Amino acid sequence: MPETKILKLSEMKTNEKARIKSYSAKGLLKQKLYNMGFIPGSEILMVRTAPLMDPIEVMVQNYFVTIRRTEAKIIEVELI
Amino acid sequence: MIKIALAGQPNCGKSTIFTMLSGVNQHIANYPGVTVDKKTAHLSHSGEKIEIVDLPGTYSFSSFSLEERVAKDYLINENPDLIINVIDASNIKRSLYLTFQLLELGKPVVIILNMMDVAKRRGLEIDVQKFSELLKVRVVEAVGSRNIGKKEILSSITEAHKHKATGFEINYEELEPYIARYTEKIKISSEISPRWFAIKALEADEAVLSKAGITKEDMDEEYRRIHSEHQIDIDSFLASVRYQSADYLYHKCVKETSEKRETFTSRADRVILNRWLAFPFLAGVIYLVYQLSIVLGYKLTNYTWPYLAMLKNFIISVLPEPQFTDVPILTDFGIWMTNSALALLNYVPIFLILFALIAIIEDIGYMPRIAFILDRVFKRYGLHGQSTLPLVLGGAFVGGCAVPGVMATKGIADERARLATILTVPYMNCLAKVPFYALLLGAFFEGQMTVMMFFISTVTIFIALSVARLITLTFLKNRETAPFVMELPPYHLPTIKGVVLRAFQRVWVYIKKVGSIVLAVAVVLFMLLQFPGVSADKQAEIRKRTDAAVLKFYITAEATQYHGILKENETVYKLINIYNTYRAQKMTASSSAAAERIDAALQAEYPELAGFIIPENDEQKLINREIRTISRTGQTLLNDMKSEKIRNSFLGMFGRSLEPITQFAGFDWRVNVAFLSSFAARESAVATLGSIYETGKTDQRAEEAISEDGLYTPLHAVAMLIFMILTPPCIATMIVVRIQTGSYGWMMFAIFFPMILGVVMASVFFKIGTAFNLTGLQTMLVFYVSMAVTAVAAGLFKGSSVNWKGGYLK
Repeated sequence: MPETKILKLSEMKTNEKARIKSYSAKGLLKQKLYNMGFIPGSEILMVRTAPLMDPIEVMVQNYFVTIRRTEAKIIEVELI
Repeated sequence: MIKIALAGQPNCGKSTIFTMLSGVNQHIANYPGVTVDKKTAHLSHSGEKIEIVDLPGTYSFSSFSLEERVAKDYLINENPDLIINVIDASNIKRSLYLTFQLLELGKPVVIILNMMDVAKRRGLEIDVQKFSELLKVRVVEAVGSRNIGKKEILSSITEAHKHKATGFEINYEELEPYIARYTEKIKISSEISPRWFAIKALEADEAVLSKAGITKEDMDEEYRRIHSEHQIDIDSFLASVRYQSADYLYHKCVKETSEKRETFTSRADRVILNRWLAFPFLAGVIYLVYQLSIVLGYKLTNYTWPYLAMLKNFIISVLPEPQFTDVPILTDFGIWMTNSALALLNYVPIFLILFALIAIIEDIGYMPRIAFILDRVFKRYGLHGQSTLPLVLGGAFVGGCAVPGVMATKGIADERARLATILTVPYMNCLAKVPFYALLLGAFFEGQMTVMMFFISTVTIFIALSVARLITLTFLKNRETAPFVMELPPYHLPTIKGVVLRAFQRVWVYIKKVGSIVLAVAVVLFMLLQFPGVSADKQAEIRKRTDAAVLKFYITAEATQYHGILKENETVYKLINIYNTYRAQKMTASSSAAAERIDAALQAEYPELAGFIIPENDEQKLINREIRTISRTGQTLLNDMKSEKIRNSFLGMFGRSLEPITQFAGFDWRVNVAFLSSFAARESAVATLGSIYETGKTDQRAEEAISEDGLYTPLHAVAMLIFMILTPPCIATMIVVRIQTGSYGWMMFAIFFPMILGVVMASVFFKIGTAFNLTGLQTMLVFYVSMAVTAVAAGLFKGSSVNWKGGYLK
């Protein structure tokens, strides 16, 4: 089995695919992320970064979500 | 009556379904106490009365945003009989996340699979029968944008209403024993299923916990116990189970027949959000919105204005007629009120276009993309990517309008950024300030108009950004902010009906709310300008000059064959009024045919007197010339009296009493009065200055009058410009600030903070200009550079941007 690489969502490169591992978010952000479909175990695709490099756009649960890098830092993913 | 709540996730096409069901028969208000739109419609189907309330679009029923709180409160407290859940058929899996939570409420539910056309195009084959069986509810297919499915929805509503909910349940496995325990424990008398309350309690929903009398500490204890026993976090577990169930359901009911093709949205976004093309494209869109609404809309007012002028002429015609220089106060008042109302109505074409364009941009799905592109810049100033459009509408070029700008802040999720945007939009350049700029530039900067206008129009964005940074670091420091996690919805074609309806609704809200208050302020201003009135000495002097003018007319008339007709004062006054009306009508006549009609009407109505207005023989011409002269003299006398009245009025006294403060900026009482009176509508600054400076030379323009007056230098003009740039546009904007913030406190802040800032800035730069002996243009340049440097510095200064736990500062 190839070794999996764990990194922060904010560190993913365009067109990389990953699985959401966990996140240390609390309160509002955690609630919001669940509602938007960032569920541990789901696949996530890095679509693009904004023209000014922040925020980033990802695809999760078959829809496009944009998230600031400060928030994306909290989410750990596993490249697949 | 069946009370229905219409629920769904954002961008599922809920509004098109609502429009399809209700037609134009819908009402917009705000939910009590908050600024979220509450849309309601009443209709009847097979003898049954139905009330539909369109809930705000939400992903879930947590308490993340104002919309979610509003939707949840409505469902708990208003007790609807039935819930319609709109689902985006092309994206069922994630829509089910909300559906499950709605089903748990235990109310009858009808599901609408909307956008079936999009789903088919993407090659999705949905087994609606199976779907309905698994969820145990009625499922209707629909295409809201093409009016497909209305009949089926209505019959499903009446059907579902007759039966009780069938109790669909998700199995939360390990959590079930806890849910069962809380279902027993929580006793809330409500028609909502106890199971829902139990699940919400486990989600630590504060509203439910406080209703059930459970403390946060108890819940934390429970969390720890569950975590040690089952190794699960409750909220992540609930969320995953819901997504897994959605996945299961999806695979049971939906077949993907064609291969996964790239969607139009992905392809379009590759261009629209491309690193190099995003900015040119955005600039193009903004330019187009600006051109179509502000520029074209302004031209359009040239066509609508004659109708408003006709209305004005009509109102004046029913008011008591002036007896030459003796104008009844009722007439004065009527004209004043009409002018105030028309100043507002004049902008309606601009607003209609603007609101329609905003609705189109919203429906297409470009709005969140603008935020995506620009968030990084605005974030530095405590604003939000979504602040872009409000600021542009407020006047990123010369001449926007703060009213729609402030209104467009509605969708900003981040409370602090939303307030900051509302409070900074008024710093942008409003259209009605332009005549004032033009007046001062024409008077003092004839050769440098272009460069001055460039300074004026671009300095505002620096000011707005600096102010935003300042207030987010101070007054708004403890306001709730929100994490930036936003959906970029698929692109959709908007429906004409939806766009037109929304544009008209928003304009109507504007007219209703703003109109009433502006008129109230107009009354107050009228009183302040009217009283205590002209002194007895002045009145006597005017009387003497009036009599002299009339006497001169009689002497001329005496020598003609018409002296028989023209010997009563009443007749002469009437003749002057007829002449004035005739001239006003002629000015608004759009064609020569219309002008002929006016002539014919005059001859028909006043067969005896028409000859003096449209003279045919030499003697009539002579008298006609005299009428023109006496009318002009009358105008001069009236203006003289008016400026005397303003000088003596309460507002005049107030303006004078402000002189000790405003003298540092070089403003005398006349400028103060002009600024004070212009608060009802900015246009009146020019009118007031004009009438104060009225010299009696009718062919002299206000620009010349002011510059020839000799009291002011270009430096004074710069101080006035700085003050005008900084002051809030008008009372209408302030009312909208009140509406959008829900607080008079912020309205007061929005009025006085910029005014104080304006006086201070005007004084500082006036003093700098005086001290260093700078020209007006040099002073303006110093001001411009100072603002630009401030804005850049403010952007570099980092404040805390993460504040999710911050509470309200009441």
